[in-house]
Amino acid sequence: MSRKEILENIARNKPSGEYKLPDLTIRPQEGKVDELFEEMMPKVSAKFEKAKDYSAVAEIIRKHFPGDIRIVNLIEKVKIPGINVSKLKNIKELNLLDLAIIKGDLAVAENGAIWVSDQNLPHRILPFICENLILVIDKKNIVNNMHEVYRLQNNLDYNYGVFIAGPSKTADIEQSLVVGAQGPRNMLVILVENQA
Amino acid sequence: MRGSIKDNSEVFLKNEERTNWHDKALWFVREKRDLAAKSIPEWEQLREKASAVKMHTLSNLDQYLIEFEENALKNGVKVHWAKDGEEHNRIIEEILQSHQVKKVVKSKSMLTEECHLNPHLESKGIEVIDTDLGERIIQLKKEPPSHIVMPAIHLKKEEVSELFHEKWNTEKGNNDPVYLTYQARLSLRKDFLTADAAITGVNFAVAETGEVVVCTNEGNADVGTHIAPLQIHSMGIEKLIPQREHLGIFTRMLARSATGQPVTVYTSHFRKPKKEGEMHIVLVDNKRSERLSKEKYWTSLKCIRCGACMNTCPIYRRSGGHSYEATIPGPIGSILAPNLDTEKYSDLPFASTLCGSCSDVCPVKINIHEQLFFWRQDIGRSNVLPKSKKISMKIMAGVLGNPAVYKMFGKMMRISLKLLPSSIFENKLNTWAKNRKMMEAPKESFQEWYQKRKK
Repeated sequence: MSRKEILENIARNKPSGEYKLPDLTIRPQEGKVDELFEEMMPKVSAKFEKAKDYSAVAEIIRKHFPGDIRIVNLIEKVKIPGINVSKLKNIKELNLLDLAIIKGDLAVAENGAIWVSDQNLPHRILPFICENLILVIDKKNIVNNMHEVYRLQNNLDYNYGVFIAGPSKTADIEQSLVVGAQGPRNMLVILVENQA
Repeated sequence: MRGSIKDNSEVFLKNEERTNWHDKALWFVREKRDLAAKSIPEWEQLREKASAVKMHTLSNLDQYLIEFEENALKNGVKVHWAKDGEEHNRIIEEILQSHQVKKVVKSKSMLTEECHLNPHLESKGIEVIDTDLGERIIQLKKEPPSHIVMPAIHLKKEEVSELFHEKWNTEKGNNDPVYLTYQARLSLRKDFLTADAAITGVNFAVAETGEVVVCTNEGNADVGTHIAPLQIHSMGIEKLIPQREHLGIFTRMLARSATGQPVTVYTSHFRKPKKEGEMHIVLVDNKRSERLSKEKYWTSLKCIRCGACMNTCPIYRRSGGHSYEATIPGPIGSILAPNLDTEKYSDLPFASTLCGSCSDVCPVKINIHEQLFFWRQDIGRSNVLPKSKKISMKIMAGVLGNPAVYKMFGKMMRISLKLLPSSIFENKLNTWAKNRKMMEAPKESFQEWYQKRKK
């Protein structure tokens, strides 16, 4: 059994010195989190809009996507009709989905990342298989930095979760930044100022 | 037989224009890293903390692995242990065979490169598609990666265009990276939709929760794992960290160090298998547990594979990653490879100016340049050094170790450099003079000048 062998090797070889875990308190950056977050949006190639409430969210989405397109909308409060994913026989039917509208739980000011977990996702593939992704986030759910977001998520019960910072991208050909690698080719973040 | 970095880089340097281009491309990334690091006032504090977390975990690695396994099992994940690359490949092959897998999509993993997983699976009739764009390019070109974060950094867009035209019949002569990336997207999407299994590497694994964290910009790890019914994550045992909260430190540093981005586009946390899916984690040792016993070298296990040391290294930038002929090139590769096979990689610790820039940019504070120096000493003491180097080092030790001899030798050299024809010095044995003119000798030594001045 390699398990036993590996663990015994480690027990025998590991350094004997005492190395303590560090203190994790780190001073947050200065500034209002919603302003810092907004500043990050162009830096991660995401489009950004503010909505005063959820009915305004729907208007913004119709303005950006006026045509007759295939949509999956996972936010009940946003009144935009779409495909009923619970009736899908195979997730592969979602290939080339035009738009997915998904709620982000928490957003991080220092890097523009938004947490999406399968607590809000009927299928994990949804934020990745769409050509365009809209993440909607409540203003009160923006936190300062990654330390804070992980601390807030302690005891969070999810099976899969992801921080998303912008549309998928690559610079693998001569270091030229190209937006739209294997995931969405376009991303819009909508910040809701009054979530009621 | 492995070629030496000296011979390989000589070939690389023949194309001066390309060498300069490579040098600049990497320096550009290094500058982006500097800007990103400077935007965080507590950067140095983060480096200290990152290093401390890794040292703590490594010195308690057996307990944390047991904790990790226990929690992963509770999550419904299947956990496997591999003592070396061979066992890792066999385990993955067995998992795939038991599901009748014909086609696998793989996202970037230096570990599977280290274990040579692709050729193994292919020899068993399983098709492997690398899905990171850079990896896909070099896979089609049948080359190994030349950088751990930017695997195709050595290729020009014209070469990529030519390659795609040949393989996928894309428009000939269209060198636009946007066009080329889109063509790769179309081809890869077909692979994602037809794959039976997905394999990913792991950036971090959390003992407390049993979850693995995978960081990508392209989203390829996610598209792969969420579509295929079977997902396998391969990880080296040193990827472990104790708690979820420690991810805050590392996710803040990884992308900033690697490419200068504030964070990777996707930081994905896999805890449990998806509905009707199956999830496996393979824990790989491959001499890592042995390295823990080496007082001078165990801290190299702190590495989070950001590649910052490569981008800053004057040798790497002007030699190219392939010149190292090691799975991981650059400064970190030069201190990792001798742990796997000291004799085979004995030339790598010498391919450095010991300028220390690698250690300065390392987000987990590995003393890379010092370890390079330690390896030189250990290799010098053992019998694996090439004879010519050994003899010349012995002579130099004699000269430098004795002030009287040093003085005399200096005088002799100054006189002979002036009087003798340059062909005497610029010969084959003097590798220093290969691409250089010998310098003009000063009239007097520094010491002579200093003594005179004192009078």
